[in-house]
Amino acid sequence: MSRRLRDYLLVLTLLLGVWQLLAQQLGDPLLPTPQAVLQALVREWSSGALAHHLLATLRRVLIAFVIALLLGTLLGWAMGRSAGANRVLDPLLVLLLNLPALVLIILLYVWMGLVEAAAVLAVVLNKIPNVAVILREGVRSLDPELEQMARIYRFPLRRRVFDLWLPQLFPFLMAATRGGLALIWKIVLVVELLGRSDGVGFQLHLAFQVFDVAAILAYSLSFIVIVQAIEWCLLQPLERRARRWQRLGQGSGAHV
Amino acid sequence: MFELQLTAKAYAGRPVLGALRLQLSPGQRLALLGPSGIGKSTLLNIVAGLDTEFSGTRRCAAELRIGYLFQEPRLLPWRTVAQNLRLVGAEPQRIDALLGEVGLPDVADLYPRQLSLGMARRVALARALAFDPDLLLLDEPTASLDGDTADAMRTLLTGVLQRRPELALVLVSHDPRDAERLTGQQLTLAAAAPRPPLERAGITTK
Ligand SMILES: Nc1ncnc2c1ncn2[C@@H]1O[C@H](COP(=O)(O)OP(=O)(O)OP(=O)(O)O)[C@@H](O)[C@H]1O
Ligand SMILES: [Mg+2]
Repeated sequence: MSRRLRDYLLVLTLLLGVWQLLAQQLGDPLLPTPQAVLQALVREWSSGALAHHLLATLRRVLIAFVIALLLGTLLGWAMGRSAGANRVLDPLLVLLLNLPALVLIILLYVWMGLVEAAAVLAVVLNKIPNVAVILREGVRSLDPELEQMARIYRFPLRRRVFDLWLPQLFPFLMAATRGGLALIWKIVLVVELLGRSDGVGFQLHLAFQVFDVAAILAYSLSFIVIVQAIEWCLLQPLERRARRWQRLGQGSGAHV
Repeated sequence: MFELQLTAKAYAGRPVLGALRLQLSPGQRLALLGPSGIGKSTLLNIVAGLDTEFSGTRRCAAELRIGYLFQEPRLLPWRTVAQNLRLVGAEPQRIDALLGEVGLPDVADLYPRQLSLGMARRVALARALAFDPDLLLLDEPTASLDGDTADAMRTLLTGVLQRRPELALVLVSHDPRDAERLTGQQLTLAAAAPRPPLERAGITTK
């Protein structure tokens, strides 16, 4: 653990060093030095703009993520459980998977206007097929023997959900979450760039118009830090807790 | 309290079990013996009501409680032993007594993977008992255990049954010693003619 952190910091420092050297050599405002980016960061932070726009983006990411995860899970559930549902929904899924995010965003803005609902819906629709495909696999891999056990002992629905299904689907939900956050925040930036007046994407748009590379880097790096923080402070501890039974069981188990 | 009138059971057109009639009343203990692959687990799944794809009829009260010791323990690996018992309705204060009864007083906080097969099977037995069953189904309770452990399991089961005179039992096993120790009524699932021994097994209770 501490070794991983050390390597991480080492790579980061190295990258910073290379960047610093390159920027100094070039002396071009289109590649600002790390200090310049830091200054932009401090400037945006003290004006309150950074926090405002980061929060706007984070809010969209979380709302879209939660909705997509819920709907995608339900869809994946239906498709994994019923061959009929799978036959009907699969073409739709393939269509959505192959539809470029940009097309969906533009269409929804055109149809619904440049409103928040259109923005979130565009992100949700982009993410749902992803979640559904992952969860369909998860649902198909549910253990039928444990299912029989739960029937014999008359597990009520609540217990089936929390004690039988969720633990088995956990790795799949985790995969959907990891891939989801990364994908969603990138789409949210596009959505903001095209039709919102706040958020990191909107700020990037402004900075792009005046070629303010320092601001572009300041905003995107801050959001990367936030996504990384979610991974470290939320997802990894959750995963460690949920996988406790596997760690404890290693080596001593006499059967699978 | 329970009646099964089986005409035939086939998997995808391949016959596995032939005609068979089973009638159980409270406290009755029945053993079905037969070699591997003859259809013992298949029959228990039908008795348990898990498998409804057979020709024949199965009659029992909807509230009949069945405890099923599957051939594999089928504990939830992500829940501790105590939690596994809680999940079938055992009150917290009963858990120690149940684990004590199966000779495992110290495993409440372990995960199933930390148990040996014999221990896991006993926990699964404790779970079946925690359910307060009227009918207990045992599928090969001593298979894959070494001689002494298998004997200990038989002794344990004998005690469990003696303490619950109303509990009906259907045991399936390939080992006649299980049947002798645990039941008064033994039937052999015989492969009926013609040849392929796995294809037709038919018995009737008299
Ligand atoms: N789900 C299934 N689909 C198709 N065939 C099956 C299925 N389950 C069992 N069989 C077949 O039915 C026959 C009986 O299987 P079963 O598991 O009931 O045997 P068994 O008597 O319990 O054997 P063992 O003592 O090894 O547990 C076997 O030939 C097996 O191949
Ligand atoms: Mg079997």
